[in-house]
Amino acid sequence: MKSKGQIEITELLLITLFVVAILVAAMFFFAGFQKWQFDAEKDKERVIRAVGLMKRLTDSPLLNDENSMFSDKKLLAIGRDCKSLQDVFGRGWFMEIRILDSRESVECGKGNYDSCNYYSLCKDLYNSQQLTAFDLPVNVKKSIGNQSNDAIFTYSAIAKMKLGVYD
Amino acid sequence: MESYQLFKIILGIIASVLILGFVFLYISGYSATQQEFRKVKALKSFISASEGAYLTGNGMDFDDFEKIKETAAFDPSAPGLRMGNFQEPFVVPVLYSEGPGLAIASNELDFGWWKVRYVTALPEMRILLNPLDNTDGTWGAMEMFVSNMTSGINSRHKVAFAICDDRDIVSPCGPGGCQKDDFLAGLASLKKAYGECQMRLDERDRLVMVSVACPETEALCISPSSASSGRLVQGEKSAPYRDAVDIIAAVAGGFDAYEYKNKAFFQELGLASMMLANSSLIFSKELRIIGNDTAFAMDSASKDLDRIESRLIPSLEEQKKSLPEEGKKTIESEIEKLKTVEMPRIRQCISLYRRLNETIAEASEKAGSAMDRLGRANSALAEAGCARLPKQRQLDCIIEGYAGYRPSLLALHAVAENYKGLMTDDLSGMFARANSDAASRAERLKEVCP
Repeated sequence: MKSKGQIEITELLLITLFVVAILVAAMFFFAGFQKWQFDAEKDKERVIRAVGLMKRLTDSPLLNDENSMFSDKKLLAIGRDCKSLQDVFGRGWFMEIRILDSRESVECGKGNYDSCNYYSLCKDLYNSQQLTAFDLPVNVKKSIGNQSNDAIFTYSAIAKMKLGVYD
Repeated sequence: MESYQLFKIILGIIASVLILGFVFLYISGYSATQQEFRKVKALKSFISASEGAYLTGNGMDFDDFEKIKETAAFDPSAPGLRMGNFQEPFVVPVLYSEGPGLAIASNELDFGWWKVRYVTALPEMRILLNPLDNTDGTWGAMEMFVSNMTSGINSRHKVAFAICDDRDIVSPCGPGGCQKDDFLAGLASLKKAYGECQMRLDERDRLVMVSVACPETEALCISPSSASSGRLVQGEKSAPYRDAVDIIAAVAGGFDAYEYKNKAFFQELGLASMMLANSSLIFSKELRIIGNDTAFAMDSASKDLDRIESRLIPSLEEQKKSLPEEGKKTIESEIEKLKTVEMPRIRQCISLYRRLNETIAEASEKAGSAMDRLGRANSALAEAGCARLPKQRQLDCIIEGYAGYRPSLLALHAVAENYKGLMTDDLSGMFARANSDAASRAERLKEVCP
């Protein structure tokens, strides 16, 4: 049979243990909450970066003619020089532009500017990292070949731009 | 008191101290984390504000650093801003000067063939200019620098300008200095050589000496050699400047900012020049279609030749018989002109069309030097007065873009790629020549191309 003193000390120890357990649980909870907050912040960061980059890409004279209209000539001229492009716009992104013409995708290159309908920039570097992607309708000033004596005809094509941002 | 009660009290005290200590440590750690978090937020907010100014062209005041009572320093390694352990890279070119409150403004530098946009983020400051001589170069450099600075009219963080003369401040607007436009308006009346600045500088003061021969000093000194270029000297360091933005960068953030500006600008110029040079090749397949025109022109010229030879000349010979002596002479001189001038000219044109056709076929396949030959063949046709091709404007445009604009862009690209050489004197002259050539070629291309 335990004495009264032993019982009270055991009670005290149990209460202390209980309080410490609550504190440790709270610590884990707060640490977990902070980690979750940090991850959420990281996702939010990626979204902010994607939106900022989207604004820059649709406005930059490197890819657009006046009035924020993508120029097929410039998209073709940049071609596969992704490194220089990422030196200016930062790393960890790719962009695709698909002309909405209800035809099969034909990737644009030097020899087929008038018959192609798909442009891709920096896609080769993307290696299935966690991605935040946005689609945006855009206009592309598209050349359709030599149909007049004076000029190569162009028209404003409606296209879908996909911008992917990854870490 | 029984011993177990004493033991209970001691255990209670130990447990309470441990628990309270633990809670205190955790809370203080948490609050420190939140403090750091505010720094990160302020840095990110600055990056976002500079990006906004760059994209919209609208300036703004940025006071987040003032709110957290800390300033961020320019970190050339990223490049970006650093505050304590945190670092945030720039996403657009920013010329930054440390301060609690900043005026963010968007600007652009026009190279003639390309415009580079950039952002300035400057705290309230008074720029003390110290012209040590009265040469046109010195005053021209000062005017170029001041006129390219942000006006700051709508900002709370204004940049003021004044002249430092020995231990005095000379300014048409009082010792606080003038705003950009007032200072520029009164600049002509201040023209003379001033004594070296000996003033005790405030925290907001930036001393900029201007002289053809800079003295040995720790202050930044602009040493002009022409209207828009010269050297920047500060202590042991020295580098050439090619435009007003080089000076603004050095005034804002020293030689680190100057190097960053050049890297950012030349990366964009390198990409733009390569891209524009490549775009001259894209439509070269159109040359094949233009090639059909030359076959048509050759055929047409051959028919003209045949018509003159087999119909016009015999018909004139026939007419001649029935005419009086005077008329005969006129007809004979006509026939002579046809035989000695017109027919050789048409033959020459046929040969030139043939040459053009061959070079077009070659150039549409591999461009390169064939495009230069095509340019020469096209000029020879124009000089010989041969009939223009139906798609002549397109041909002229492709040739101008390739044989004219492209080499100057490639020269610029080579210089821009090697931008570190531009921080010494090695490539400065080469860049100036290539840039001026590209700018004039861009103008010419606008005229030629439909």
